[in-house]
Amino acid sequence: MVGTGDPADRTGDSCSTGCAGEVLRGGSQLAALEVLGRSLLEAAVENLRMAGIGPISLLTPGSLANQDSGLRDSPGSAVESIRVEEDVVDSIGLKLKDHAKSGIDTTVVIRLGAYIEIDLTEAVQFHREQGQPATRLTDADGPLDIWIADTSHFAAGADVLSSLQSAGQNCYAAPGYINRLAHPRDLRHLAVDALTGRCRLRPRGSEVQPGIWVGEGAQVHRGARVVAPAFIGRTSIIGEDCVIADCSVVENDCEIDYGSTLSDVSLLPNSYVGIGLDLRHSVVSGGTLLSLEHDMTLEISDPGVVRFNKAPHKDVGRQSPAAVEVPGMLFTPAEEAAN
Amino acid sequence: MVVRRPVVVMELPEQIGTSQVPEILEDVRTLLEFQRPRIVFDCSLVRSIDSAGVEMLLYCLDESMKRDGDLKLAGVSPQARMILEIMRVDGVFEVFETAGEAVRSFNVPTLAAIPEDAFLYDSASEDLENVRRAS
Repeated sequence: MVGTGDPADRTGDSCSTGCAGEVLRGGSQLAALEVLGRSLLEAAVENLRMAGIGPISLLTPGSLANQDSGLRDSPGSAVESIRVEEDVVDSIGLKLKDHAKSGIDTTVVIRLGAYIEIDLTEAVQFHREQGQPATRLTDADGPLDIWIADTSHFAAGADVLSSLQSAGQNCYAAPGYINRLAHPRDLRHLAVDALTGRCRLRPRGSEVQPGIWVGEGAQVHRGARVVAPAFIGRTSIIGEDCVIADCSVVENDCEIDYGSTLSDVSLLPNSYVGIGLDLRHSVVSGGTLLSLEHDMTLEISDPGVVRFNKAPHKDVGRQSPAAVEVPGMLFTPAEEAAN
Repeated sequence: MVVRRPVVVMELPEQIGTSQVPEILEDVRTLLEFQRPRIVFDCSLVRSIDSAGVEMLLYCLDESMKRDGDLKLAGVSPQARMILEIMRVDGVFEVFETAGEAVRSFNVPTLAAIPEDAFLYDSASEDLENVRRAS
């Protein structure tokens, strides 16, 4: 749940007052993914802060609670992290009641999964005008896992689940940038859109040349060629004679060995690409390669071709949240809300 | 007189990796003893190939061409084809949908794939010896 401003200030209709929200980390491991060196969770929190929403509460199911949220490095991080062992929906209800007691009258509830850049101010205004207990946001492809809820309604003991479900009757078509991240192809689209400036997501790192961002500690051999726009993540290594082109993204903790070429590729964190290879139009995570051109997934067991770069959880200091092996879940559509 | 060799179709196993390569090479080397070998690797059963397997294919092609022959691939699955693309060898081989097409591309009368037991053995050796003498 993501909150806004000072809950004691209840003046005006702006969503910067009396409007809180929650961000749920969904069951899908997409919530732990990094894009251009930033966790999607961090990006979601940043977008909400930019919209003037706060305070922010992060409800994390127990199975995901041990993963690094990527928020500790966020400047001005003011996110309350709540580990949820029981039913997440019950926890939402409790949190909504807390908000009501604190004087927060409106809460934005987000089930993390899609990447969104939406003007929530207008959405909250619409919700308040409708006078319904909850409003669900939608886009051209259908409902989103984003609700705006009246805390007073839930403080009175209303059932959270049925209220959120019935919110489908009261929808708000949200304009803005939305990427549902339902398929790895969407991940690639998000990376390309971010590199080409079609969304607000910006790479984490220094723009060493126009359109080329390099993360802290990354090493790019002087004999390698990186064609803008491109992103090289933190501590990643690009070997001699490599070519990184066509909006390719090399996330954190990767290594591309001598002479390999990446063209229109997203190389997810902690991945290794062997010598002299030619990867095109793909998303690669460890030993799994999804060809977007052939719409085919390959499990490559040859460690000389592609593999995970380091053992999971070896680097305790700054462990990438997606450094653990992500089996097929990475390439499945986002799970439906666990209702 | 030019002797046209028969085209030999060899069916590759499901897995072509470090463990399988020595055995496959053992079978192929006999074919490579002749001048102008014409070989088709039927890959329709191949489900898994790694860098050692690709290296083996390249070796066999190289040895065939050294003897003025050729080696072609047939029935390569989309997955195996992707591995060849990733390793930048997809353009090196002629690849056909079926073994029959690959054989016809040599423009010679066909032979059925030599079964494994006949390949190394006495029932084939006389024919191979005759071919050797004719060359």
